[in-house]
Amino acid sequence: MKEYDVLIIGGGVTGAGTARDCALRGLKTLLVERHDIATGASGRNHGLLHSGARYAVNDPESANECIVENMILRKVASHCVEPTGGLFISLPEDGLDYQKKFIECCAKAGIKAEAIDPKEALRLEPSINPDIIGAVKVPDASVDPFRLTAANVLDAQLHGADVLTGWEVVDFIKETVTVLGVKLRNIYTGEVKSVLSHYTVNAAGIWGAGIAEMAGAHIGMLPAKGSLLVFGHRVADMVVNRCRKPANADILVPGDVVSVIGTTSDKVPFDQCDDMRVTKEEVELLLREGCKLVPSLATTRIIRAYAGVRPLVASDDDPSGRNVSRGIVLLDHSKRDGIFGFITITGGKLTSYRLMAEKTTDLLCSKLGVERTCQTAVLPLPGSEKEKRKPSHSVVVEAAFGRQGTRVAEMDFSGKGSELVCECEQVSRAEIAYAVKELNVKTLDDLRRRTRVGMGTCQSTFCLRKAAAVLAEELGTPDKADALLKDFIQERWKGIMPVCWGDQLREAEHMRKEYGK
Amino acid sequence: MKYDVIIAGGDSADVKIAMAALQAGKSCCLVAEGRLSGEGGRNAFAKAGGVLLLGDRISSVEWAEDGSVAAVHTANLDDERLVASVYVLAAGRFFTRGLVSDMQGISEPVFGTDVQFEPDRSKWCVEDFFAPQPFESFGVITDEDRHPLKNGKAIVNLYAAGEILAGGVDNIEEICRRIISA
Repeated sequence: MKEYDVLIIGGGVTGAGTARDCALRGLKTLLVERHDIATGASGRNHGLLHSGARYAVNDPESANECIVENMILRKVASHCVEPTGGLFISLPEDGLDYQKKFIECCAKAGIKAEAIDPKEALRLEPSINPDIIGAVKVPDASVDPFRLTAANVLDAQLHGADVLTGWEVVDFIKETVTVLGVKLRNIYTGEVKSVLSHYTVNAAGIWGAGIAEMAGAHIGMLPAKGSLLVFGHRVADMVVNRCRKPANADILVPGDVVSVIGTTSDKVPFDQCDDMRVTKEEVELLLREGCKLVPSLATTRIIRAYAGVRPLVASDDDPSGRNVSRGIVLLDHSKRDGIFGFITITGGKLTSYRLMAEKTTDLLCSKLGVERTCQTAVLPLPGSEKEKRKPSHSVVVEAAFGRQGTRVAEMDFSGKGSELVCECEQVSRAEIAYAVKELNVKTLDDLRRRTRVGMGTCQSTFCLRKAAAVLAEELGTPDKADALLKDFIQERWKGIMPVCWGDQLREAEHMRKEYGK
Repeated sequence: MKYDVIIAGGDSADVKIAMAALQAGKSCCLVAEGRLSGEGGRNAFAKAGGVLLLGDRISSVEWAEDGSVAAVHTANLDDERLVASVYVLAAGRFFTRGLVSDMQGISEPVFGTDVQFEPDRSKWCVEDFFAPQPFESFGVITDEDRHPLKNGKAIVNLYAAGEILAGGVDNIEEICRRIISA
């Protein structure tokens, strides 16, 4: 007895988007995630909704995909996107030759790229390096990948999909050459169970190589580590890019109350993918290069460093992984490897996740004989519906609206609900209660990905005790507050360690005094 | 102004030393930016006749020829010479700016005393948040009598007390005794 039409492995944005698309087309769907949603590359990137301009010169196909998806997501995921606009600036050492080619290629890819006077660029974004010799305005935007993933998961569930977080695939159930399902193990309890499905989709990002291996297929993947730094202020209001051949640390993205600079690109071994660390050298490189874009970064507190692994599919032997195509890779393993009932979706990027999901679901529907067209390009995600709404006078209600969009209507701000828990990000008890009820939250780290609790300038130093107590209470396990707190702070510490000097060392000492003993 | 004791405060135990000085019949001035300083004992100190310069910090130091401290000035009382028989550096660690750090290293900003720290920045913290952190044992180097060293030479009328001391030694009681008998 097959329980599901489709079983999707991986709770990143691609898996979540595929689950939503499948559910919307009436397929009986299960999404399985080992840890929590957006814990891999989906949550470890710039949070940049690419206009495609960055790829225009080297990869016109990806560039065009980006601009099309960018325009779609502004509409269907409006509560996750901040339309900041972006600049590509040329420094004296870059010259203007690249800019000329860049504008031409953007035009060919359908990206509106407008050269503006450096003075005008400085007026639009006063934080950029005043030495610039050229600037191009593009429709880049900032996107919250956690929110985007959570909204896709939520909509999948609202349309009947089941979601299992904290369940790891430990084996495939196969009958000769056909995948019938998977064996799962609960990472918290160790419980093991089997799930059967007509089709299994591998959307596990870089970990997809291992998943495919387990199913008997080989995908040559190239783990390319990208490190980023988070600054304690919104130093710029626009996305700032360097107008040159893509290189290290040439994009600065504002996101909520902070800014992110990145990235590096280095090939790493597979066994490091589960525990990415940012090195001292990477921190120094990011800071040195970042200051050329926005000089005030030199005097801005760095609150955190993190790294993700790009799931690039190896197409040549470029050691940096930077020149590999960022294109979408959809593998039908029945044609490729003679393994039936098994599909891999990989490559691509955050901006093109919806298209990746659409292509995957199209393939699934054709195999299952379902004739329903994709609606995700027009149907708003939960939170992004166009509704006439009267703004509230309450700061916490508006902050919750900013993050959860129209879902704010599901929250109860009466009584204790309006209590402020996280001051940096203005997260209320009502929003936490909602996240626990609707968004599969088990830990403080899960809660952080849904609500930004502890992601602001204090990195949870001020609110942690309260946040842990409130979450424990909402989960119905008030005695677990201390355990929740300890797990969370240990995870935060990992990102603080590489940038622990200056004011951040002061903050770290404060954190230790508050929670270390 | 002349005092028996001037304390560059900030450490949560700075007021203990200040109170000990007052109780021994000495005049005492405590300079502190606030934050953790005193932890509630400040009012008792002021009531007992201590001079509390709160929200202020020692901004410059006059040095005698023998390398001892001749006088200090604060940010708010820049034109005032504050002179004492004994000075105490109890400014706490990083949070209270008793020590300051950048990507290159760590220094003590008030008297510019010698600081012991790990030169490799990537070893300032350890993985386990709940374990003692190496940066918590960085601090001012002193001689046996708790006089901080500056370029290897002891500053004879200055004591270092509390967290700012290298090695994380709790020497508050000891400094109280030394001040009383000074």
